[in-house]
Amino acid sequence: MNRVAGLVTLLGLAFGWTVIQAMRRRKLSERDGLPWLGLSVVLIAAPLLRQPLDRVAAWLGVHYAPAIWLLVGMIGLFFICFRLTMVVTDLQARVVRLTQELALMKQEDKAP
Amino acid sequence: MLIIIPAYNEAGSIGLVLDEIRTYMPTADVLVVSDGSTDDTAAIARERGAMVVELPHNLGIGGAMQTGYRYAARHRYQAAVQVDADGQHDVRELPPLLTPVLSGEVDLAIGSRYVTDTGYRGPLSRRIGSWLLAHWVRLMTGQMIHDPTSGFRVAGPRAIALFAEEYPVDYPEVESLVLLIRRGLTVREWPVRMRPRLAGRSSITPLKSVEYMIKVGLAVWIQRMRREVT
Repeated sequence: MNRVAGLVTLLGLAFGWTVIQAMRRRKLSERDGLPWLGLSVVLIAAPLLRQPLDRVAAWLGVHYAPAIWLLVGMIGLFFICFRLTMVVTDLQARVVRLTQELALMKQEDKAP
Repeated sequence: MLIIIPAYNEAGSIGLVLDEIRTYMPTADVLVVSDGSTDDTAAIARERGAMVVELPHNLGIGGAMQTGYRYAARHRYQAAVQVDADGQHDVRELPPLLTPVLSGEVDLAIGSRYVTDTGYRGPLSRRIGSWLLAHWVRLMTGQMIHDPTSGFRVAGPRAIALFAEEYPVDYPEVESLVLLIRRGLTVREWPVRMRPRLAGRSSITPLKSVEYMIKVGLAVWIQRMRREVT
């Protein structure tokens, strides 16, 4: 294992630990933490995936195999952003509903 | 009957609008939904004897109107009238819209500037936009609504119940029509005269108009594609 591979593994371990701590402290739900845990597992396993990665790169016609990681990373971030946008839409709908209910309750409290 | 007035910083006109309603519709209940206003809109409305719901922050016209529909549904009103706070809508034009709703003939009556020549001229861009949206709605629903962006409308009990649960947030007028028609509710237009706004300026710029057309067009198309659960 070369130095970069070791660094990536360490980074994966540290990131996985951070994610678990965030979930333990309820700063991140298990549902939302799962993709990030998956990412940390990929980071830890990355150095072991060199040969399969070379084969995938050859099959896709990519001459520089590590570029596959860049592609996978970009697609992954794209999906995470898309999911976050859906979460924002959902939260927005909830905020609207709660705002309406709060305002109506306050109005009823004030009503004679 | 409940008159719902969504208002965002309309202190300059809300008093006049409420005075006019008191004069011509003295028996109507009036609910002003102050949509996160930072001026005296809510205070002026209370002084004039209107019921006031104050949203703690700005939800936009869709969120504000839906608040009114929720109120109407809870208190079992037979008709909910939407009137703009800027004075463009003349409540003396209401009776022809109210009668068919109260008799159950239609679920939503729209006060229209374009169904016959009412003398309304407005900016050319707005008339072109309304024409395009009217034809888009016809393509999506099979029904021609000549003035789909009109906010002067009367909803009956079935429309109130639907809007209380489901109402578009951003640019609701056109999309809400498609929602009603797709659910099998009846929508009809009656000619009304509309006036220039009493105070303030319209927030719609040419760029916003283009954004409006694209967003509304997309929203109507998506609404058309949704599977209806009845």
